Amino acid sequence: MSALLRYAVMKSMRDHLLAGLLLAPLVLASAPMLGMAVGSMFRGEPVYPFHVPDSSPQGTSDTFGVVAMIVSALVAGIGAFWIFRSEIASRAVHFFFLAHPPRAVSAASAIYGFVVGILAYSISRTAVTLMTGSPQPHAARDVAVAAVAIWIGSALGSLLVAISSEAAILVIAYAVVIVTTVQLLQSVTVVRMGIAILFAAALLQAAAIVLRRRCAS
Amino acid sequence: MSERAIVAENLLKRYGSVTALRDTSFEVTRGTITGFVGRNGAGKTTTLKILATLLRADDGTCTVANYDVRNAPYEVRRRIGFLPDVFELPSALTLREYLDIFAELYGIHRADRPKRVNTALQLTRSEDLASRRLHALSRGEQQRIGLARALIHNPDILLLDEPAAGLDPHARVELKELLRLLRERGKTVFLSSHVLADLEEICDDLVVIRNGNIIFSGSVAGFRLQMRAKTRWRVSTVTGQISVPPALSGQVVAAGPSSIEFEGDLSPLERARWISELVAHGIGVCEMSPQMTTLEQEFAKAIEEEEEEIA
Repeated sequence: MSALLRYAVMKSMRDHLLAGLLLAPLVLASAPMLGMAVGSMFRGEPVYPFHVPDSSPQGTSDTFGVVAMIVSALVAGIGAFWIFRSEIASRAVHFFFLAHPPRAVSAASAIYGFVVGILAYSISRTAVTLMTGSPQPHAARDVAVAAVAIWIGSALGSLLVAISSEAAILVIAYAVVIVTTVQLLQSVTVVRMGIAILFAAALLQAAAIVLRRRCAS
Repeated sequence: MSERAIVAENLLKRYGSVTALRDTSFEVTRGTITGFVGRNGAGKTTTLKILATLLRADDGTCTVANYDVRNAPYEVRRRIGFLPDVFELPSALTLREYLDIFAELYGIHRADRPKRVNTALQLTRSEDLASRRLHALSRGEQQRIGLARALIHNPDILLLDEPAAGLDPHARVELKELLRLLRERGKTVFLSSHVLADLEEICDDLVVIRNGNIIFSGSVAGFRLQMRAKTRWRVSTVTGQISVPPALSGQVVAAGPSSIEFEGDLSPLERARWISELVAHGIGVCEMSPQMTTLEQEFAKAIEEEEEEIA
Protein backbone atom coordinates (compact mmCIF):
# COMPACT_ATOMS: atom_id res chain seq x y z
CA MET A 1 0.00 0.00 0.00
CA SER A 2 2.77 2.46 0.92
CA ALA A 3 4.44 1.79 -2.45
CA LEU A 4 1.20 2.60 -4.28
CA LEU A 5 0.86 5.83 -2.32
CA ARG A 6 4.51 6.71 -2.99
CA TYR A 7 3.91 6.06 -6.68
CA ALA A 8 0.80 8.26 -6.59
CA VAL A 9 2.52 11.14 -4.84
CA MET A 10 5.65 11.06 -7.03
CA LYS A 11 3.62 10.84 -10.19
CA SER A 12 1.23 13.64 -9.26
CA MET A 13 4.06 15.91 -8.08
CA ARG A 14 5.92 15.48 -11.35
CA ASP A 15 2.93 16.03 -13.63
CA HIS A 16 1.68 18.93 -11.43
CA LEU A 17 -1.66 17.27 -10.74
CA LEU A 18 -1.02 17.55 -7.00
CA ALA A 19 -0.39 21.31 -7.12
CA GLY A 20 -3.53 21.83 -9.18
CA LEU A 21 -5.65 19.81 -6.79
CA LEU A 22 -4.29 21.49 -3.66
CA LEU A 23 -4.80 24.99 -5.01
CA ALA A 24 -8.20 24.57 -6.70
CA PRO A 25 -10.33 25.10 -3.54
CA LEU A 26 -8.15 28.04 -2.49
CA VAL A 27 -8.61 29.74 -5.85
CA LEU A 28 -12.34 29.07 -6.04
CA ALA A 29 -13.06 30.14 -2.43
CA SER A 30 -10.87 33.22 -2.33
CA ALA A 31 -11.12 34.60 -5.88
CA PRO A 32 -14.48 36.41 -5.36
CA MET A 33 -13.21 38.06 -2.16
CA LEU A 34 -9.91 39.03 -3.75
CA GLY A 35 -11.76 40.44 -6.73
CA MET A 36 -13.91 42.64 -4.54
CA ALA A 37 -10.92 43.69 -2.43
CA VAL A 38 -8.99 44.74 -5.53
CA GLY A 39 -12.07 46.65 -6.76
CA SER A 40 -12.31 48.49 -3.42
CA MET A 41 -8.63 49.36 -3.60
CA PHE A 42 -9.03 50.91 -7.06
CA ARG A 43 -11.94 52.95 -5.78
CA GLY A 44 -9.63 54.24 -3.05
CA GLU A 45 -11.51 52.46 -0.27
CA PRO A 46 -9.33 49.52 0.76
CA VAL A 47 -11.10 47.23 3.22
CA TYR A 48 -10.00 44.55 5.64
CA PRO A 49 -11.35 42.15 6.68
CA PHE A 50 -12.69 41.20 3.25
CA HIS A 51 -16.37 40.58 2.85
CA VAL A 52 -18.93 40.45 0.08
CA PRO A 53 -21.57 43.21 -0.21
CA ASP A 54 -24.55 42.87 2.10
CA SER A 55 -22.69 40.39 4.30
CA SER A 56 -20.51 40.65 7.36
CA PRO A 57 -16.96 39.24 7.43
CA GLN A 58 -18.28 36.37 9.57
CA GLY A 59 -21.09 35.65 7.11
CA THR A 60 -18.61 35.79 4.23
CA SER A 61 -16.30 33.43 6.09
CA ASP A 62 -19.15 30.94 6.65
CA THR A 63 -20.29 31.08 3.02
CA PHE A 64 -16.86 30.66 1.49
CA GLY A 65 -15.97 28.06 4.12
CA VAL A 66 -18.78 25.91 2.68
CA VAL A 67 -17.51 26.60 -0.83
CA ALA A 68 -14.02 25.47 0.25
CA MET A 69 -15.50 22.32 1.80
CA ILE A 70 -17.52 21.34 -1.28
CA VAL A 71 -14.68 22.07 -3.70
CA SER A 72 -12.25 20.12 -1.50
CA ALA A 73 -14.59 17.12 -1.54
CA LEU A 74 -14.77 17.41 -5.33
CA VAL A 75 -10.99 17.70 -5.51
CA ALA A 76 -10.71 14.53 -3.43
CA GLY A 77 -12.97 12.77 -5.93
CA ILE A 78 -11.00 14.08 -8.89
CA GLY A 79 -7.71 13.08 -7.25
CA ALA A 80 -8.91 9.56 -6.51
CA PHE A 81 -10.32 9.30 -10.04
CA TRP A 82 -7.30 10.70 -11.84
CA ILE A 83 -4.34 9.20 -10.02
CA PHE A 84 -4.56 5.68 -11.53
CA ARG A 85 -6.81 6.61 -14.44
CA SER A 86 -4.25 6.07 -17.20
CA GLU A 87 -3.02 2.82 -15.61
CA ILE A 88 -6.56 1.46 -15.46
CA ALA A 89 -7.42 2.64 -18.98
CA SER A 90 -4.27 1.06 -20.44
CA ARG A 91 -4.46 -2.04 -18.20
CA ALA A 92 -1.00 -1.19 -16.86
CA VAL A 93 -2.76 -1.57 -13.50
CA HIS A 94 -2.26 -5.31 -14.03
CA PHE A 95 1.33 -4.82 -12.91
CA PHE A 96 0.05 -3.59 -9.55
CA PHE A 97 -2.34 -6.55 -9.35
CA LEU A 98 0.59 -8.94 -9.69
CA ALA A 99 1.89 -7.58 -6.40
CA HIS A 100 -1.30 -6.40 -4.66
CA PRO A 101 -5.00 -7.24 -4.96
CA PRO A 102 -7.35 -4.77 -6.72
CA ARG A 103 -8.79 -3.64 -3.39
CA ALA A 104 -5.34 -2.25 -2.48
CA VAL A 105 -5.35 -0.16 -5.66
CA SER A 106 -8.86 1.14 -4.95
CA ALA A 107 -7.96 1.87 -1.34
CA ALA A 108 -4.72 3.63 -2.35
CA SER A 109 -6.55 5.90 -4.79
CA ALA A 110 -9.18 6.73 -2.15
CA ILE A 111 -6.55 7.43 0.52
CA TYR A 112 -4.63 9.61 -1.93
CA GLY A 113 -7.83 11.55 -2.72
CA PHE A 114 -8.70 11.86 0.96
CA VAL A 115 -5.27 13.21 1.99
CA VAL A 116 -5.22 15.64 -0.93
CA GLY A 117 -8.77 16.77 -0.11
CA ILE A 118 -7.96 17.34 3.56
CA LEU A 119 -4.82 19.32 2.70
CA ALA A 120 -6.70 21.35 0.10
CA TYR A 121 -9.47 22.10 2.60
CA SER A 122 -6.95 23.12 5.27
CA ILE A 123 -5.22 25.52 2.88
CA SER A 124 -8.39 27.06 1.48
CA ARG A 125 -10.19 27.31 4.87
CA THR A 126 -7.16 28.96 6.46
CA ALA A 127 -7.01 31.45 3.58
CA VAL A 128 -10.72 32.27 3.96
CA THR A 129 -10.27 32.75 7.70
CA LEU A 130 -7.31 35.07 7.17
CA MET A 131 -9.03 37.08 4.43
CA THR A 132 -12.22 37.58 6.39
CA GLY A 133 -10.43 37.94 9.72
CA SER A 134 -13.13 35.72 11.17
CA PRO A 135 -12.29 32.46 12.88
CA GLN A 136 -14.71 29.56 12.40
CA PRO A 137 -17.21 29.51 15.24
CA HIS A 138 -17.77 25.72 14.85
CA ALA A 139 -14.36 24.67 13.63
CA ALA A 140 -14.50 21.12 15.00
CA ARG A 141 -17.93 20.47 13.51
CA ASP A 142 -16.88 21.90 10.13
CA VAL A 143 -13.70 19.84 10.03
CA ALA A 144 -15.64 16.67 10.88
CA VAL A 145 -18.21 17.34 8.13
CA ALA A 146 -15.44 18.23 5.68
CA ALA A 147 -13.56 15.01 6.49
CA VAL A 148 -16.65 12.87 5.92
CA ALA A 149 -17.57 14.71 2.69
CA ILE A 150 -14.00 14.39 1.44
CA TRP A 151 -13.97 10.67 2.30
CA ILE A 152 -17.20 10.17 0.32
CA GLY A 153 -15.73 12.15 -2.60
CA SER A 154 -12.57 10.01 -2.55
CA ALA A 155 -14.41 6.70 -2.39
CA LEU A 156 -16.72 7.85 -5.19
CA GLY A 157 -13.74 8.87 -7.38
CA SER A 158 -12.23 5.43 -6.79
CA LEU A 159 -15.47 3.72 -7.82
CA LEU A 160 -16.05 5.93 -10.87
CA VAL A 161 -12.61 5.29 -12.35
CA ALA A 162 -13.21 1.56 -11.93
CA ILE A 163 -16.46 1.93 -13.89
CA SER A 164 -15.10 4.13 -16.68
CA SER A 165 -11.95 6.11 -17.38
CA GLU A 166 -13.94 8.77 -19.23
CA ALA A 167 -13.71 12.09 -17.38
CA ALA A 168 -17.40 12.87 -18.08
CA ILE A 169 -18.38 10.32 -15.46
CA LEU A 170 -17.09 12.76 -12.81
CA VAL A 171 -20.38 14.64 -13.19
CA ILE A 172 -21.81 11.96 -10.91
CA ALA A 173 -19.20 12.86 -8.29
CA TYR A 174 -20.14 16.54 -8.49
CA ALA A 175 -23.80 15.77 -7.93
CA VAL A 176 -23.29 13.27 -5.10
CA VAL A 177 -20.70 15.37 -3.26
CA ILE A 178 -22.78 18.55 -3.35
CA VAL A 179 -25.94 16.79 -2.18
CA THR A 180 -24.12 14.85 0.55
CA THR A 181 -22.21 17.85 1.90
CA VAL A 182 -25.31 20.04 2.03
CA GLN A 183 -27.25 17.24 3.75
CA LEU A 184 -24.50 16.79 6.33
CA LEU A 185 -24.28 20.51 7.02
CA GLN A 186 -28.03 20.85 7.50
CA SER A 187 -27.97 18.66 10.58
CA VAL A 188 -24.74 17.32 11.97
CA THR A 189 -25.62 14.22 13.99
CA VAL A 190 -23.60 11.17 14.86
CA VAL A 191 -26.13 8.95 13.08
CA ARG A 192 -25.92 10.95 9.86
CA MET A 193 -22.15 10.99 9.97
CA GLY A 194 -22.07 7.25 10.66
CA ILE A 195 -24.38 6.53 7.73
CA ALA A 196 -22.20 8.72 5.49
CA ILE A 197 -19.04 6.87 6.56
CA LEU A 198 -20.71 3.52 5.89
CA PHE A 199 -21.87 4.80 2.52
CA ALA A 200 -18.25 5.69 1.66
CA ALA A 201 -17.06 2.25 2.82
CA ALA A 202 -19.65 0.60 0.59
CA LEU A 203 -18.50 2.73 -2.35
CA LEU A 204 -14.93 1.64 -1.72
CA GLN A 205 -15.88 -2.03 -1.53
CA ALA A 206 -17.83 -1.67 -4.78
CA ALA A 207 -14.81 0.04 -6.36
CA ALA A 208 -12.58 -2.97 -5.59
CA ILE A 209 -15.14 -5.42 -7.00
CA VAL A 210 -15.76 -3.39 -10.17
CA LEU A 211 -12.04 -2.86 -10.74
CA ARG A 212 -11.31 -6.56 -10.41
CA ARG A 213 -14.12 -7.50 -12.77
CA ARG A 214 -13.26 -4.79 -15.28
CA CYS A 215 -9.60 -5.69 -15.50
CA ALA A 216 -10.24 -9.42 -15.62
CA SER A 217 -12.21 -9.30 -18.87
CA MET B 1 9.59 -30.28 -6.65
CA SER B 2 7.76 -31.13 -9.85
CA GLU B 3 9.59 -30.92 -13.15
CA ARG B 4 6.56 -29.22 -14.62
CA ALA B 5 6.52 -25.48 -14.13
CA ILE B 6 3.22 -24.94 -15.91
CA VAL B 7 0.38 -27.38 -16.50
CA ALA B 8 -2.74 -26.31 -18.37
CA GLU B 9 -5.55 -28.81 -18.70
CA ASN B 10 -8.65 -28.42 -20.84
CA LEU B 11 -8.78 -24.65 -20.60
CA LEU B 12 -11.89 -23.02 -21.98
CA LYS B 13 -12.35 -19.29 -22.36
CA ARG B 14 -15.16 -17.49 -24.10
CA TYR B 15 -15.60 -13.79 -24.83
CA GLY B 16 -19.32 -13.54 -25.49
CA SER B 17 -20.01 -15.75 -28.50
CA VAL B 18 -16.32 -16.04 -29.42
CA THR B 19 -14.44 -19.03 -28.03
CA ALA B 20 -10.83 -18.00 -27.49
CA LEU B 21 -9.60 -21.26 -25.94
CA ARG B 22 -11.13 -24.70 -26.29
CA ASP B 23 -9.82 -27.75 -24.49
CA THR B 24 -6.36 -26.20 -24.35
CA SER B 25 -3.84 -28.47 -22.65
CA PHE B 26 -0.06 -28.31 -22.50
CA GLU B 27 2.87 -28.48 -20.12
CA VAL B 28 6.02 -26.45 -19.68
CA THR B 29 9.08 -28.12 -18.19
CA ARG B 30 10.94 -26.37 -15.38
CA GLY B 31 14.16 -24.63 -16.40
CA THR B 32 13.38 -24.53 -20.11
CA ILE B 33 12.58 -21.85 -22.64
CA THR B 34 9.29 -22.73 -24.28
CA GLY B 35 7.97 -20.87 -27.29
CA PHE B 36 4.25 -20.29 -27.67
CA VAL B 37 3.42 -19.97 -31.32
CA GLY B 38 0.23 -19.06 -33.09
CA ARG B 39 -1.29 -16.57 -35.44
CA ASN B 40 -2.88 -13.34 -34.24
CA GLY B 41 -6.08 -14.17 -32.38
CA ALA B 42 -5.08 -17.79 -31.84
CA GLY B 43 -5.39 -17.43 -28.05
CA LYS B 44 -1.79 -16.77 -26.98
CA THR B 45 -2.42 -13.60 -24.98
CA THR B 46 -5.55 -15.07 -23.39
CA THR B 47 -3.57 -18.13 -22.30
CA LEU B 48 -0.73 -16.03 -20.89
CA LYS B 49 -3.16 -13.83 -18.95
CA ILE B 50 -4.83 -16.91 -17.47
CA LEU B 51 -1.41 -18.23 -16.43
CA ALA B 52 -0.61 -14.83 -14.92
CA THR B 53 -3.90 -14.95 -12.93
CA LEU B 54 -5.12 -11.80 -14.64
CA LEU B 55 -7.94 -13.58 -16.42
CA ARG B 56 -10.15 -16.45 -15.31
CA ALA B 57 -10.73 -19.46 -17.52
CA ASP B 58 -14.37 -20.50 -17.86
CA ASP B 59 -13.37 -24.12 -17.41
CA GLY B 60 -10.31 -26.30 -17.01
CA THR B 61 -7.45 -26.21 -14.57
CA CYS B 62 -4.09 -24.57 -14.63
CA THR B 63 -1.17 -24.78 -12.23
CA VAL B 64 1.86 -22.53 -12.24
CA ALA B 65 4.80 -23.39 -9.96
CA ASN B 66 2.57 -26.13 -8.51
CA TYR B 67 -0.10 -23.62 -7.44
CA ASP B 68 -3.59 -23.54 -8.91
CA VAL B 69 -4.12 -20.17 -10.61
CA ARG B 70 -7.75 -20.08 -9.49
CA ASN B 71 -7.34 -21.16 -5.87
CA ALA B 72 -3.92 -19.69 -5.05
CA PRO B 73 -3.47 -16.64 -7.30
CA TYR B 74 -1.29 -14.77 -4.81
CA GLU B 75 1.15 -17.68 -4.52
CA VAL B 76 1.34 -17.80 -8.32
CA ARG B 77 1.87 -14.04 -8.63
CA ARG B 78 4.80 -14.11 -6.25
CA ARG B 79 6.53 -16.66 -8.46
CA ILE B 80 5.95 -15.19 -11.91
CA GLY B 81 7.24 -12.22 -13.85
CA PHE B 82 4.83 -11.11 -16.56
CA LEU B 83 5.53 -8.95 -19.59
CA PRO B 84 2.36 -8.15 -21.56
CA ASP B 85 2.37 -7.40 -25.29
CA VAL B 86 1.46 -3.73 -24.85
CA PHE B 87 1.79 -1.61 -21.74
CA GLU B 88 2.10 1.99 -20.65
CA LEU B 89 4.84 3.44 -18.48
CA PRO B 90 4.41 6.42 -16.13
CA SER B 91 6.20 9.21 -17.96
CA ALA B 92 6.79 11.26 -14.80
CA LEU B 93 9.10 8.72 -13.11
CA THR B 94 12.66 7.70 -13.82
CA LEU B 95 13.41 4.06 -14.49
CA ARG B 96 15.23 3.65 -11.15
CA GLU B 97 12.27 5.14 -9.25
CA TYR B 98 9.85 2.96 -11.19
CA LEU B 99 11.77 -0.24 -10.43
CA ASP B 100 12.26 0.77 -6.80
CA ILE B 101 8.50 1.25 -6.39
CA PHE B 102 7.84 -2.18 -7.87
CA ALA B 103 10.48 -3.70 -5.61
CA GLU B 104 8.61 -2.17 -2.66
CA LEU B 105 5.28 -3.39 -4.08
CA TYR B 106 6.68 -6.92 -4.04
CA GLY B 107 7.64 -6.48 -0.41
CA ILE B 108 11.40 -6.34 -0.92
CA HIS B 109 13.08 -4.80 2.10
CA ARG B 110 14.30 -1.21 1.73
CA ALA B 111 17.94 -2.24 2.29
CA ASP B 112 17.81 -4.86 -0.48
CA ARG B 113 16.04 -2.72 -3.03
CA PRO B 114 18.99 -0.86 -4.58
CA LYS B 115 20.78 -4.17 -5.19
CA ARG B 116 17.68 -5.71 -6.79
CA VAL B 117 17.15 -2.66 -8.97
CA ASN B 118 20.79 -2.71 -10.09
CA THR B 119 20.60 -6.42 -10.90
CA ALA B 120 17.48 -5.92 -13.01
CA LEU B 121 19.11 -2.98 -14.78
CA GLN B 122 22.26 -4.96 -15.48
CA LEU B 123 20.43 -8.04 -16.71
CA THR B 124 18.40 -6.00 -19.18
CA ARG B 125 21.35 -3.74 -20.05
CA SER B 126 19.29 -0.71 -19.06
CA GLU B 127 21.83 1.04 -16.83
CA ASP B 128 22.02 3.91 -19.31
CA LEU B 129 18.27 4.48 -18.91
CA ALA B 130 18.25 4.39 -15.09
CA SER B 131 18.05 8.16 -14.55
CA ARG B 132 15.88 8.89 -17.53
CA ARG B 133 12.20 9.73 -17.28
CA LEU B 134 10.01 7.05 -18.84
CA HIS B 135 8.78 9.07 -21.78
CA ALA B 136 9.80 9.27 -25.40
CA LEU B 137 11.29 5.79 -25.24
CA SER B 138 11.71 3.53 -28.22
CA ARG B 139 9.79 0.27 -28.34
CA GLY B 140 13.00 -1.62 -27.66
CA GLU B 141 13.75 0.45 -24.57
CA GLN B 142 10.22 -0.03 -23.30
CA GLN B 143 10.54 -3.78 -23.71
CA ARG B 144 13.79 -3.76 -21.73
CA ILE B 145 12.11 -1.77 -18.96
CA GLY B 146 9.16 -4.15 -18.96
CA LEU B 147 11.54 -7.07 -18.62
CA ALA B 148 13.45 -5.34 -15.83
CA ARG B 149 10.17 -4.85 -13.97
CA ALA B 150 9.20 -8.50 -14.55
CA LEU B 151 12.56 -9.59 -13.07
CA ILE B 152 12.65 -7.22 -10.07
CA HIS B 153 11.36 -9.78 -7.55
CA ASN B 154 13.51 -12.61 -8.94
CA PRO B 155 10.62 -14.83 -10.08
CA ASP B 156 11.02 -18.51 -10.97
CA ILE B 157 8.83 -18.32 -14.04
CA LEU B 158 8.69 -15.65 -16.72
CA LEU B 159 5.63 -15.23 -18.90
CA LEU B 160 6.51 -13.01 -21.84
CA ASP B 161 4.01 -11.94 -24.46
CA GLU B 162 5.78 -11.02 -27.68
CA PRO B 163 8.97 -9.78 -26.00
CA ALA B 164 10.76 -9.47 -29.35
CA ALA B 165 8.03 -7.39 -31.00
CA GLY B 166 9.39 -4.11 -32.28
CA LEU B 167 12.98 -4.88 -31.39
CA ASP B 168 15.76 -4.19 -33.86
CA PRO B 169 18.09 -7.09 -34.77
CA HIS B 170 20.71 -6.04 -32.21
CA ALA B 171 18.14 -5.81 -29.42
CA ARG B 172 16.76 -9.23 -30.45
CA VAL B 173 20.21 -10.74 -30.08
CA GLU B 174 20.51 -9.16 -26.62
CA LEU B 175 17.09 -10.49 -25.66
CA LYS B 176 18.07 -14.00 -26.70
CA GLU B 177 21.27 -13.74 -24.66
CA LEU B 178 19.27 -12.61 -21.64
CA LEU B 179 16.79 -15.47 -21.98
CA ARG B 180 19.62 -17.99 -22.24
CA LEU B 181 21.23 -16.48 -19.15
CA LEU B 182 17.95 -16.75 -17.26
CA ARG B 183 17.63 -20.39 -18.29
CA GLU B 184 21.15 -21.01 -17.02
CA ARG B 185 20.04 -19.55 -13.69
CA GLY B 186 17.23 -22.08 -13.52
CA LYS B 187 14.37 -19.85 -14.61
CA THR B 188 11.51 -21.13 -16.71
CA VAL B 189 10.62 -18.90 -19.64
CA PHE B 190 7.34 -19.21 -21.51
CA LEU B 191 7.21 -16.71 -24.34
CA SER B 192 4.97 -16.07 -27.26
CA SER B 193 6.46 -14.73 -30.44
CA HIS B 194 5.89 -14.32 -34.12
CA VAL B 195 9.61 -14.32 -34.84
CA LEU B 196 9.94 -18.05 -35.26
CA ALA B 197 13.56 -17.90 -36.31
CA ASP B 198 14.38 -16.50 -32.88
CA LEU B 199 12.34 -19.19 -31.15
CA GLU B 200 14.10 -21.89 -33.11
CA GLU B 201 17.43 -20.59 -31.86
CA ILE B 202 16.63 -20.37 -28.16
CA CYS B 203 13.66 -22.59 -27.36
CA ASP B 204 13.86 -26.09 -25.97
CA ASP B 205 10.17 -26.72 -26.48
CA LEU B 206 7.29 -25.37 -28.52
CA VAL B 207 3.58 -25.10 -27.96
CA VAL B 208 1.67 -24.39 -31.16
CA ILE B 209 -1.87 -23.03 -30.88
CA ARG B 210 -4.45 -22.51 -33.56
CA ASN B 211 -7.91 -21.04 -32.91
CA GLY B 212 -7.65 -21.93 -29.26
CA ASN B 213 -6.56 -25.52 -29.91
CA ILE B 214 -3.10 -26.82 -29.14
CA ILE B 215 -1.91 -28.57 -32.28
CA PHE B 216 1.57 -29.38 -31.03
CA SER B 217 3.33 -29.46 -27.67
CA GLY B 218 6.83 -30.84 -27.34
CA SER B 219 10.44 -30.27 -28.22
CA VAL B 220 11.53 -28.16 -31.19
CA ALA B 221 13.23 -31.26 -32.57
CA GLY B 222 9.98 -33.20 -32.10
CA PHE B 223 8.07 -30.52 -33.99
CA ARG B 224 10.53 -30.74 -36.86
CA LEU B 225 10.31 -34.53 -36.80
CA GLN B 226 6.53 -34.43 -36.88
CA MET B 227 6.65 -32.10 -39.85
CA ARG B 228 9.38 -34.08 -41.50
CA ALA B 229 6.98 -37.02 -41.65
CA LYS B 230 5.68 -35.22 -44.67
CA THR B 231 8.96 -33.81 -45.92
CA ARG B 232 9.01 -32.50 -49.41
CA TRP B 233 11.58 -34.28 -51.55
CA ARG B 234 13.06 -32.81 -54.69
CA VAL B 235 14.40 -34.97 -57.54
CA SER B 236 16.62 -33.14 -60.01
CA THR B 237 16.68 -34.79 -63.40
CA VAL B 238 18.73 -34.55 -66.57
CA THR B 239 15.69 -35.19 -68.70
CA GLY B 240 13.74 -32.32 -70.25
CA GLN B 241 9.97 -32.72 -69.94
CA ILE B 242 9.19 -35.32 -67.33
CA SER B 243 6.42 -37.84 -67.55
CA VAL B 244 5.82 -39.07 -64.04
CA PRO B 245 5.48 -42.86 -63.75
CA PRO B 246 1.86 -43.79 -62.91
CA ALA B 247 2.96 -45.73 -59.81
CA LEU B 248 4.40 -42.56 -58.28
CA SER B 249 2.05 -39.90 -59.56
CA GLY B 250 -0.15 -39.98 -56.45
CA GLN B 251 2.59 -38.48 -54.27
CA VAL B 252 3.86 -35.84 -56.68
CA VAL B 253 3.09 -32.28 -55.65
CA ALA B 254 4.96 -30.42 -58.40
CA ALA B 255 6.64 -31.35 -61.65
CA GLY B 256 8.84 -29.00 -63.65
CA PRO B 257 11.01 -29.37 -66.76
CA SER B 258 14.02 -30.64 -64.78
CA SER B 259 12.66 -31.59 -61.39
CA ILE B 260 9.81 -33.20 -59.58
CA GLU B 261 8.76 -32.70 -56.01
CA PHE B 262 6.79 -35.05 -53.87
CA GLU B 263 5.90 -35.43 -50.22
CA GLY B 264 6.22 -38.42 -47.97
CA ASP B 265 8.05 -40.09 -45.15
CA LEU B 266 10.45 -42.14 -47.23
CA SER B 267 12.83 -44.71 -45.85
CA PRO B 268 16.14 -45.18 -47.74
CA LEU B 269 14.63 -48.30 -49.32
CA GLU B 270 11.61 -46.40 -50.56
CA ARG B 271 13.85 -43.67 -51.93
CA ALA B 272 15.81 -46.32 -53.85
CA ARG B 273 12.54 -47.69 -55.22
CA TRP B 274 11.55 -44.22 -56.38
CA ILE B 275 14.86 -43.69 -58.14
CA SER B 276 14.66 -47.12 -59.82
CA GLU B 277 11.12 -46.38 -60.97
CA LEU B 278 12.14 -43.06 -62.44
CA VAL B 279 15.21 -44.52 -64.16
CA ALA B 280 13.09 -47.36 -65.50
CA HIS B 281 10.89 -44.72 -67.16
CA GLY B 282 13.90 -43.15 -68.84
CA ILE B 283 14.31 -40.27 -66.42
CA GLY B 284 17.93 -39.52 -65.57
CA VAL B 285 18.18 -38.74 -61.86
CA CYS B 286 20.96 -36.35 -60.74
CA GLU B 287 20.01 -35.90 -57.12
CA MET B 288 17.28 -36.60 -54.61
CA SER B 289 17.25 -34.38 -51.54
CA PRO B 290 14.86 -33.26 -48.79
CA GLN B 291 13.81 -29.66 -49.01
CA MET B 292 15.08 -28.00 -45.84
CA THR B 293 12.48 -25.73 -44.31
CA THR B 294 12.65 -23.09 -41.65
CA LEU B 295 10.59 -23.37 -38.49
CA GLU B 296 8.44 -20.62 -39.94
CA GLN B 297 7.58 -22.73 -43.01
CA GLU B 298 6.91 -25.73 -40.85
CA PHE B 299 4.65 -23.70 -38.60
CA ALA B 300 2.72 -22.44 -41.65
CA LYS B 301 2.50 -26.01 -42.89
CA ALA B 302 1.21 -27.26 -39.55
CA ILE B 303 -1.45 -24.58 -39.53
CA GLU B 304 -2.45 -25.35 -43.12
CA GLU B 305 -2.74 -29.05 -42.38
CA GLU B 306 -4.85 -28.36 -39.32
CA GLU B 307 -7.13 -26.16 -41.40
CA GLU B 308 -7.43 -28.82 -44.09
CA GLU B 309 -8.31 -31.41 -41.47
CA ILE B 310 -11.01 -29.16 -40.06
CA ALA B 311 -12.36 -28.45 -43.56
